Amino acid sequence: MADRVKINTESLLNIELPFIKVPYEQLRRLNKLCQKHIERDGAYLHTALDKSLTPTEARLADLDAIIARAAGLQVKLTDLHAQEASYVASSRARLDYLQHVADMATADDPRWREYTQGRLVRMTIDYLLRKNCVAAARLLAQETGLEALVDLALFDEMQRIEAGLARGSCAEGLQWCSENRSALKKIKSRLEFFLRLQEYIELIKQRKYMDAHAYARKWLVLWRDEHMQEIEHAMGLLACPVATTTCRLYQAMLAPEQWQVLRDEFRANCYALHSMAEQAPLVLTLQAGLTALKTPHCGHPGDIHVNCPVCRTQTLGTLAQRLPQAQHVNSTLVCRVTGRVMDDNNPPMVLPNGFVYSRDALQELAQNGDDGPITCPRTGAVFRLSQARKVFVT
Amino acid sequence: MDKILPEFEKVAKRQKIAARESDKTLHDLVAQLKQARARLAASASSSSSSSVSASTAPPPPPTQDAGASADASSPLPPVDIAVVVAELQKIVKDAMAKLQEPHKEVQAGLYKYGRAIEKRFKTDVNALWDPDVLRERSDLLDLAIAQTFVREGRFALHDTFQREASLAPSAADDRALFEGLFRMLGALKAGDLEPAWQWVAQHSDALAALQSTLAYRLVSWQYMTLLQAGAWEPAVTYARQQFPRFRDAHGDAIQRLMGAVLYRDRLAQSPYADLVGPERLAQITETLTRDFCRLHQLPTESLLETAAMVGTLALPTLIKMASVLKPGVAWTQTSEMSVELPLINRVRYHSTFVCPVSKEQGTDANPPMLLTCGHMIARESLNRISKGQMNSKIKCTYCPGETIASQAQQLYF
Ligand SMILES: [Zn+2]
Ligand SMILES: [Zn+2]
Repeated sequence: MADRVKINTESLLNIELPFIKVPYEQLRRLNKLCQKHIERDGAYLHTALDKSLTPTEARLADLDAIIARAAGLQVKLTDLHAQEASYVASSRARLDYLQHVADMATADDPRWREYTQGRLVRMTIDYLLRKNCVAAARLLAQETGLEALVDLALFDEMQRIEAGLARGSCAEGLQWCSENRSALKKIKSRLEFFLRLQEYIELIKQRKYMDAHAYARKWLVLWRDEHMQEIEHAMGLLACPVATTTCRLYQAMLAPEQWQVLRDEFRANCYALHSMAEQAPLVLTLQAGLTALKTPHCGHPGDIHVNCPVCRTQTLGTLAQRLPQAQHVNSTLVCRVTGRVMDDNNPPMVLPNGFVYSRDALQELAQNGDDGPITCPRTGAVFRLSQARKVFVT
Repeated sequence: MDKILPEFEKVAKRQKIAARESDKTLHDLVAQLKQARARLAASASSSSSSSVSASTAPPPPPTQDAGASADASSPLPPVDIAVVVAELQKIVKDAMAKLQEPHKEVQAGLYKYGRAIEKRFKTDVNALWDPDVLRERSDLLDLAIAQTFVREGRFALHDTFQREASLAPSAADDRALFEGLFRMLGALKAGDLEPAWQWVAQHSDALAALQSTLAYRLVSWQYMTLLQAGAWEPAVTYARQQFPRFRDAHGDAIQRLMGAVLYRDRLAQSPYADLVGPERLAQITETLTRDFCRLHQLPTESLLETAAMVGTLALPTLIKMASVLKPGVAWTQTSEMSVELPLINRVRYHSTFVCPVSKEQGTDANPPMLLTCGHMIARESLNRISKGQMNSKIKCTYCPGETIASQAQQLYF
């Protein structure tokens, strides 16, 4: 009984975008960083040479500093290149992985099971990482040997930035924004504005009104086209009694919960930047799977199948409650004894009591040979094999 | 993939070149700077100061330490500082240009690779997401994941996850059960059949009821192990004691096992190699796991794996369907799907009856009925066709057969 169900591999690979995009965005970021270091250190070397080595003055100590800077650039670039190499390697591993399954045609291809099993592990790790269960995610990646195919490093980076936000620091987030500026622009990110706004609000909270004012003039105005309203609200804070304000809007802006809002905004931006789904693909995939499996019989006493995920009311079955049941165009009869789908080779047979079993099953149940007595496994009623009639499935 | 891979390989190659070349460029730059320093240091060595001054030096800037300008008439340096500086500026300039270049190459490669990626992969799955389904129930998913870890024998992982996600302690008996299973499997892998034997002995009646082949498989593995160790006489004695009780069910296989005696000194190269190979042990492991789960009425397959596999198969259809849905309407907000999702036979756990007349799925209230010709129809369709007259004759939609409505029989799948 082959499962010649067709697989839409083309469409499946389409949803693997983040799988390739994550290491790609890292490569882009690292390349930009390399260039930035080269530019910055190059400019430094030029001015330092100009200053310290005027035709008339040559201070060896300054020259030593210049040499150290050049050597430092070498160390920095070596480190960045090593990071790049690791993302090149994981990109290759991921592309090879997809290439390996790109020509699967039907679900009886042994690669199909391999692919879906691997995909489940990858999705589980992603789910764990999104829940901040980092140690569990790392352990699962180690035990399954799939480290190159999951985004442990990306989530480490995210945690580092979120830890900054959790202790009231925007610096890490702003640094991240500047490293990913062009990609963030493409997804119309507002994160940088919100971070700047928060830094401004912190100055207000500390009652450094002059500093806040200067900060707003330097940074917030850059967004006047997109965020005029928010900027005006922010400026209003300058005239508000921070500790005693009863204005809901100002209270909200000054509330410590803003930091959580920023963390959520950062997460959403980071997912979008890497074309990752807003919610864990594991959940989405399980929704699809439970729907496809859901029948009116699931969970009914007497119909429960131990291997059916929807029948498992303790866990997945309850998740399936809010999902639609599958649509079927044709009848498919499954033999209760053999557990296999009945077809022309092993047709369904009905006993006089209306209970249907496959022919193979009845022959197996028939004791003492050809027309031996058969005990209906569900009712205990006893019949002869010759009393069973064939049922036609249409 | 054919368009992406070449673009990726270009990036990979250029990245390697950039890494190698910039390392060399900076290495050379540092060497040249050091060289220049050495020359300047040599020329200044006669001077007591750490500064080298040309004879035409203007008064020192205020930052300079007091002693440095003490001797403006010290011996003239043998190097022309202006030349050295000009040289160094050019060296730095060239080096920076040389550094930038391969990085620009990488950048250009990444740009093209990025374009190729976006062309190849382009599905937004966010539209498929319905947040309501999991609302306040994510703990059930966590529990399902934790149970999967236990059934895979990943106990340390289970504990780590439980701690990190602060899950309520899950059913302890399942955990203890599977720990027992994995102890047996571990021993089996190490060549120790004893724990498995003990378990088989403890549950011999239940295993017999399940028509388990485990005992037979263990006996034959033990026999082959003896044979392979060169103990062929004990092997045969063991066979004579153990095999007879399996003769009915496994007669042919036992004959083959006995045939292996002929090749006892070179089994691995014989036609009987499969009887001692790792696949054989894998089979025993699988049988043991399966029978263990059956005996304890636990799923023999991972439920999470089944749901994820079916879901992966269904996603393309869902994506297509969602692309024509009205915005704001989730695909989950209906009681039955409007399209059929692909499903493989291996994971069909329940019969589905679809009435050929009404195209509706059978339910308890509207069950399948068997006509005397052997075709099936839903009860409501039968009533409609017979207009409720129990003794009216109705014609089958599939064959010329006719059935008296009252003779139609309810079916149970
Ligand atoms: Zn079910
Ligand atoms: Zn008929």
